[in-house]
Amino acid sequence: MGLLDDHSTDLTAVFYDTARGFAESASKEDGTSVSVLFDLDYLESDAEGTVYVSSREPVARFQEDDAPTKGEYVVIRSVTYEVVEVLAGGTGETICRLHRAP
Amino acid sequence: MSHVRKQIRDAIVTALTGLSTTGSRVYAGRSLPLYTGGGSIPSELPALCIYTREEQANYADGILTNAPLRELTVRVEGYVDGTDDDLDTIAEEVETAFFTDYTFGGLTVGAELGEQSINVDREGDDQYGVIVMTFNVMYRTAEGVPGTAV
Repeated sequence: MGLLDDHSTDLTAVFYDTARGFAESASKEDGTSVSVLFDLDYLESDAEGTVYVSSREPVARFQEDDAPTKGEYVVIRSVTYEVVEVLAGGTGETICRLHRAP
Repeated sequence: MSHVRKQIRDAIVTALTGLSTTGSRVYAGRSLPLYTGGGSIPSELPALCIYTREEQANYADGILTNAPLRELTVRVEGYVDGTDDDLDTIAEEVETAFFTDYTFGGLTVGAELGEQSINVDREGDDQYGVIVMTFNVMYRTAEGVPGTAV
């Protein structure tokens, strides 16, 4: 078994198992529920005014087979987000940059 | 008595408070970030931030005077989670209110439109935009008497 196989196995069995505390549930547009690793870091948005706008930088990591496509909506922690960027991780995960849906 | 520059800034805050888009969210000299809301704390957007941090005295044509014309740059910044259209709506409301009484109760002798620019940032969880509007405001005070407009 190679390192990537180990990684893939761990993704499902450890990191994306919501019972272990790393992952949480997200709902996709088609109603399916998937596991997601969600970050909501603080961000100071700079549109070149004198002050910043205190913002957040929502990023969700999905297992490849569960990943939404760009433009799709997902609900995480009761907030609806639009997927604005999809980055293939190449190791079994897909990283999605999100915006709060209007 | 406060400096006339502060009196003008206060008068501008009053004139720009209560506009349809930005309402009471008008801040003079703000340096802290604007909060976008969350939990029980309401969003501070859309908002206006007003700065009067640059000024030049103009002793016209070398003629000595004890009450030079002072040219104050007023910077009004409109912040919104939205689009260019929203920022232009703010500009329409601000310009209208600003020139309703360009003397601000007799404090100034004139006001002119200056540069305007729009920028948008999409790095965060929404699209945040800023319109920077500058106005050149002229007023006079006697030398050594900065608290009284003449």
